[in-house]
Amino acid sequence: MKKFYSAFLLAGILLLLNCAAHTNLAPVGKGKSTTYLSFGGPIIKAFGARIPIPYATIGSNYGLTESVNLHGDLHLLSLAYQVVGLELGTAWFPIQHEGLRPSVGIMPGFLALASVKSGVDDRFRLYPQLAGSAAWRSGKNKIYTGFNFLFPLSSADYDDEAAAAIFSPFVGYQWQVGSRTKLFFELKWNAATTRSDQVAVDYLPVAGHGAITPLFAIERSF
Amino acid sequence: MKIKILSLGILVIGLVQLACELDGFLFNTEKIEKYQLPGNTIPLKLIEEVTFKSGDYALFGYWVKTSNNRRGLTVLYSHGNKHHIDEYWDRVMYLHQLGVNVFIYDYRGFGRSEGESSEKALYEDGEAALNYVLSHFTVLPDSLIIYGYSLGNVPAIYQAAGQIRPLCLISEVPFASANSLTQGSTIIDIPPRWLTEGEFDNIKYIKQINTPFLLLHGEADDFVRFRDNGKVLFENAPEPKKLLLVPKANHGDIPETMKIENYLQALNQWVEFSVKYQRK
Repeated sequence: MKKFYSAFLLAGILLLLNCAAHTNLAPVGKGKSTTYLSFGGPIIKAFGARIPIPYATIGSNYGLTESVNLHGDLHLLSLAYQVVGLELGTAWFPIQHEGLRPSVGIMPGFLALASVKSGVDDRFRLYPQLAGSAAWRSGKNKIYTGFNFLFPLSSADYDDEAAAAIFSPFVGYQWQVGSRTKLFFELKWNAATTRSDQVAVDYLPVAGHGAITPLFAIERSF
Repeated sequence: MKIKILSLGILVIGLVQLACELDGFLFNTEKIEKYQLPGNTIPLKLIEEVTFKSGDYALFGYWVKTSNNRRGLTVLYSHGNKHHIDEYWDRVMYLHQLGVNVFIYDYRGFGRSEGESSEKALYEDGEAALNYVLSHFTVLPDSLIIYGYSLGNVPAIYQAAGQIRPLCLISEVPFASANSLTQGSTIIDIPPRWLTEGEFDNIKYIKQINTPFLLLHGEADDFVRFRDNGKVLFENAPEPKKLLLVPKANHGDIPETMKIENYLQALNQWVEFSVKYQRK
């Protein structure tokens, strides 16, 4: 029964949060910028197989100072549902690479969603976010880990068990390809503290919680 | 390489398109020539295949007469989204053991029924089935048990919220609305209609019923979670009402999980209660 229903709510998962690889691992340098394309999403069971949802975002980092980046992401696939998704934030790196010391980043920001679909009464949602990351050098490459907190400001009126914060830890690897290009592979446990084994979509949860989410990204610096 | 990229592209477009079309997933499009009634143990002389009209479309159904109709009661059964009448024939056989007539039908676009499924068509088909049972089989409204399973709760709750006052409404694993399913899956409070075309607003209609309401929901339902579906409907339903939350039961196995005899006993008790309530 569930398999048959699963696909019908693919739309639902496409807006599951934090579906972009974490490219903000170090300062990009004052006045410099990078552009990146991220794709991947929660693994779900559909059409008899486990597949990641092909979510896609495009974004840019800009170096405001030598230790602070600004970043913005536009969610591409949600546009198919006439939902504009925009993430804006800043990344501050109080600790930067030196020897075995990782580059540590703290990233406050927000995700804004707006529906431009006709017949919709309630058009906007805003979600504050806070992320943290630590990235270690591995030759020219980097290995990194971190977390993301997203804070829903509202919940369905019937849902008295809604989470106050959605926690998503991640690990990843960044390859330096040439002087200007980087590739990222990241594994995220989306909504790790939220039960996901009793919802319409067949996610790949861990102990009944969250959704395993592989993400890929390519970044080009300018 | 180009073929792989093309295949990936087609998959992506397909997923997006499928996701955008709620109805395409919710409704069954498999057409059949003949019903098989798999595993049937009901004497064939009691089973009558019928057709009736819903708008311009012919719908198919089965009237299953009990040989032991001591109470003169009839169950009008609206099935779930999967396949057609054959998939739910075991349920017909269970209900037949209650000593009641059973009427089951296929919605537009399901099984042999003509037309195309839609939310609007579900309501119309449910109403047409109700009118057909009341008029063709001369069933009295107060002897009618309206039973909805999963998607079938959309027409069933609508039937019970209409002009007639049936004996009772039995809802098994209903969802509260299209949005309740979406919000459960996205985890966040996505507003209504952002991601779905249909409303399937069972909450709206459950408030309007005027008949005893029995809700059956599995604690382990991994599709229509009780917390944001059955519980919400139950809280919005008027009295008298009863909740039967079945431990370890999933979306499709409540009778088997609680054992058939216990399931039938629970239904029987609710019917008896409803009869007494009606006499007050």
